[in-house]
Amino acid sequence: MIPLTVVAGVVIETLPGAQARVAARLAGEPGIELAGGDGDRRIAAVWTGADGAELERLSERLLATDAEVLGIFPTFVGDDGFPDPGGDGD
Amino acid sequence: MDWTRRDFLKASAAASALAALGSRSALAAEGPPQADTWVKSVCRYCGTGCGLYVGVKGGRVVAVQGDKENHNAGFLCLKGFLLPQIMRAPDRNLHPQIRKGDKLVRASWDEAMDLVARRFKEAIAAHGPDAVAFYGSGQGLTEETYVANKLFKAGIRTNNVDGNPRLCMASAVGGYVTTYGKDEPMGCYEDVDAADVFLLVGSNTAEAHPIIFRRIVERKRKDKNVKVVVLDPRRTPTARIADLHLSFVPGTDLAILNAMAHVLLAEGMVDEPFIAANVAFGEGAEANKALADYKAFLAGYEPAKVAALAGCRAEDIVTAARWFGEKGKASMSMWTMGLNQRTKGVWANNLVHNLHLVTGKIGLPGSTPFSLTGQPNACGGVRDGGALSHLLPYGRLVANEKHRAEMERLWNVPAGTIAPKPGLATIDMFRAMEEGKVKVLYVMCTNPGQSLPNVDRYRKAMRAPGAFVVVSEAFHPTRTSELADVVLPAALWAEKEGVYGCAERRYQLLEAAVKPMGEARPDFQILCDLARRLGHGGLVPFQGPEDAWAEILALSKGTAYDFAGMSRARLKASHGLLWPLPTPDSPGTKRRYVKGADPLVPADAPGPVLFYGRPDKRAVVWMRPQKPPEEVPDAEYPLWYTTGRVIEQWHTGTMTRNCPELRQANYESVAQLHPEDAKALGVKTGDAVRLASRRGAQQFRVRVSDGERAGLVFVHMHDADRMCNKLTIDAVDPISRQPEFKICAVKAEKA
Repeated sequence: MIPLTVVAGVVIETLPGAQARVAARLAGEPGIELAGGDGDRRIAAVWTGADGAELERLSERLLATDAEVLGIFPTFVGDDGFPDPGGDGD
Repeated sequence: MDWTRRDFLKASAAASALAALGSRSALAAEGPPQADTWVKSVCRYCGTGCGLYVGVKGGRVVAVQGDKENHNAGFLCLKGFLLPQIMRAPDRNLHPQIRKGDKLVRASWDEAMDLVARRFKEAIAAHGPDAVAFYGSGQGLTEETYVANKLFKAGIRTNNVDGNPRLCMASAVGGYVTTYGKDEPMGCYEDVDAADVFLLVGSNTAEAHPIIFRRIVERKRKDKNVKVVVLDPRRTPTARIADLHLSFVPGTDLAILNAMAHVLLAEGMVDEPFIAANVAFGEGAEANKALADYKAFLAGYEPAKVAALAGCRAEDIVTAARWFGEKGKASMSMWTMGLNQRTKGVWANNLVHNLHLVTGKIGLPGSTPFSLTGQPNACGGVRDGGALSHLLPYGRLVANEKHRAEMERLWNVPAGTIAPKPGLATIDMFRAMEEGKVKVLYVMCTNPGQSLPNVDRYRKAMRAPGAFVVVSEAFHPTRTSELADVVLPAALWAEKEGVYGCAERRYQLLEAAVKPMGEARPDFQILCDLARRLGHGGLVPFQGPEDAWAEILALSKGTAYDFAGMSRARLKASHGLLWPLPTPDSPGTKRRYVKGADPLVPADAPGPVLFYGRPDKRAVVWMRPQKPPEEVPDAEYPLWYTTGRVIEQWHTGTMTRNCPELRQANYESVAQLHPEDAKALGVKTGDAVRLASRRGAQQFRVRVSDGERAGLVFVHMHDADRMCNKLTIDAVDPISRQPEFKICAVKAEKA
C-alpha cells in the first residue's frame, strides 16, 4: 500500500518574546518547516508526517518538554496519499 | 516551476498558518504584496463565502488577505490566496466577438448587442417567448441575476430562466422545501464550534470546502470526544479524520440513512415531545402519516439487512446512529454533491433531515442539518433570488397564482404578465434546444459546454442549425464560448460591485476594486443594455447595482427570507449579515426557526422552535424508500463511475487553470482506481486507461489509490481537455430536475 503523508499548517504559540528561541529549537525537529512568525509569540510552520496521531504526539512532546511552548494549533490539514502520475502504484 | 501535490499542500499549509498570524499571501504572483489600498470583498470560489480584502496597487489587483473579522477568521485556502492571478490571465475576454462562419471575430459592443437583440426579437416574434432562454450561474452577483430574472419573466414573459445551481444544489433546495416548507439551512458556521458529532455525507469537505474543514479539525482538536462520521464510498482526505468512515456501494445511502433512523427508534434515541410538537410524517407528497407509520416503514431497514445491500458492516451503521443520536450531544450533518447529484437526491436530503427531526437535534447550537454549497452565490443570487425556472424571488413559486400576482404588483407589470407554467429546467432547456424549440440561449458566467452531463449531446445542441448562443464570460475561449455565436466580455470579480450570499444565509457586499480590463463590462450593465434594446428598459431603470438592491430589499419584505433591513450601507459596514433581518436594527439570524434568535418566530410561539415555512408549522419526516440509481454496473459496463473535486482546482478550471502554481497540481484529470481494479486491467499509476459509458468515452491517465472502493472509478471534474462529463448520465431527479452526475456505469481498458 502507498504510505500516507499528512501535511499540516500549524501555529505554535510561545511565551511572549520567546518566538525566536523556540523557532531555533524547532528548526531541528524532523518534519517541521518554519514559514514565518509575528516577531513575538507566534510561529507559522508546516509539519509533514505519517498521520494525525504523529502530529498529536509531537504536540504533546513539545508541550511537555519545551517550557516556552504554550500550544500548537493546526490551521490546515491535507494528505498526500498518492504518488504523482508516473510513480509506481501497487 | 514544477509543483507536486505535496508542494501544493505545503504551500496551502504555510499560507493558512501565516494567515492565522495576520500575514498576507507569500504566494502572490508579484512577490510580497505592497498594496496601496485594500478593498473589502468575498472569495470568488466555493460557497463557503470567505471574507477577504483585495489589495490594489496602480489600478491592479496585487494581493488578497483574509478578513479576520469575518466568519473565516482571516483564513483562506490557497485558491483564494491566488485570486490576483486570475485577474490578468492571458485568456481574459477583452472584446465582444461575433461568429462569422467558423470563426469568432472582434466586434464593437453596439454591433454585438444589436445582433443579440435582433436574434431575440426574431425568435420571440416567430416562435413566442419560450423560444428564448437564460442560463445563469451561482457565481453571478445577486443584482446581475436579478436583472436577468426580471427581464425574462416580467419583460420577455418566459420562465425559461435556469442556471448551474440546478446541477449542484437543486436537490438540497428540494430537500429543504419539502421538509421545512422553505429553502436554505437554518444553522450557521458557528454551529461547527459547538457540535459533538459531525455526520458528513457525500461531502469531501477537506478538498471542496477547506475552510469549513479547518473549522471541523479545530473543533475536534479542542475536544477529543468529538466524533466525525463520514459516509462516502471513497476514502477521501475528509474520511481520514473520521472516527468512522462508512464506505458503501454507490446509491445505497438511502437505505443506510433509513437504517440509522431504524436504530434511533429501536434504541429509544428519539425526542418524542419534540416530535409531538413540531413534526409531521409523510409519504409521497402528502404529510398525512403518523409516527407509527414511520416505525412500520423503518422495519424494513434493519441494519444487518441494509449492510448486506450496501456492502458495509451493520455494526458501523449502528455506531453511526448511536453517536448521532446520543442524548445530550449536539449533532451536525453536512452534505453536498454526493447526495444532491442523484436521481433520488431530494429523497436522500429528506432522509438526513429525518435524523435531526426524530432526535430533536435541530435549532440548537451544534445541532443542525447543513447543506454545503459549491458556488459563492448559488444561495443568495439564484436560490433565494428565485432565478430558476419554477421560482420567483424569495420563496415564491411560478405555479402559485397568488405569488405571481404579488410579483406582478411588486414589479409594476400588468396582471397576467408572468406565465403560469414553470419554464425549462437545465437539462430540459438544452434538450429543447436540441429539438429546435429553444432558438436563442443567453449563457452568463458559466460553462455548460463542459459542465453538463452527457456533455457531447448538448454541445451538439448548442451548435444545431438555427440555434443561436450568446455567452457572457470573463474568459475566452472556454468549452462554451467556443460554441457561441456572440461572446461578450464580462467584468470579473474585483472589477464590479454586488452581493454574494453564501451557505449560511450570509449576504456580503463585494466592492469594486479595479476597473474592468479591456472592453469588459459588468453583467449588470450588459443585461440592462439588452433589456433596453428589447424594449423593456422600464423594468430596469437602475443607475447601478445599488438601485437594484433597493428593489430587491422590497421584494424580500414580508417573506420568510425577509432582509428588508439589510441596506447597502449596512452591508458596506459589516463583514456579512445573516437573514432574516427584517428591520434596520435587526442583528440578523444565526439560527432560523428558533424563538429568540429568529425575528420571524413570534415571541409567544408555543415552543423553542417554529417551522413557519409550512402552513401547519411542522417539519415533515418523509418515508423515502431505497431506490437504485438510474444506471448500475452490468456485464458490459462493470464499473461504477463517479466524478468530483480536488483541492487545487475548481469547477471547469477556467480560473484555477490560470494560476501557475495550480497548473502544476492536478491540472490534468486522472482516473483513480483501486489497486485490485488496476491489477485486473493491467495498469499502474501513470498508464493510460480508456473509460467508456453508454454516452461517450475519454482517455485518462491512471492513479492507483487504495482510497478508492474496489469496482469504482473516480475522475476529477476540472479538466477542459479530458472532459469527465462525456461519460456522465443526464438522467434527472424527478422532483429537483438535478442530474445524477455522481453515479453511472462504465467499462475500462488499458489504452
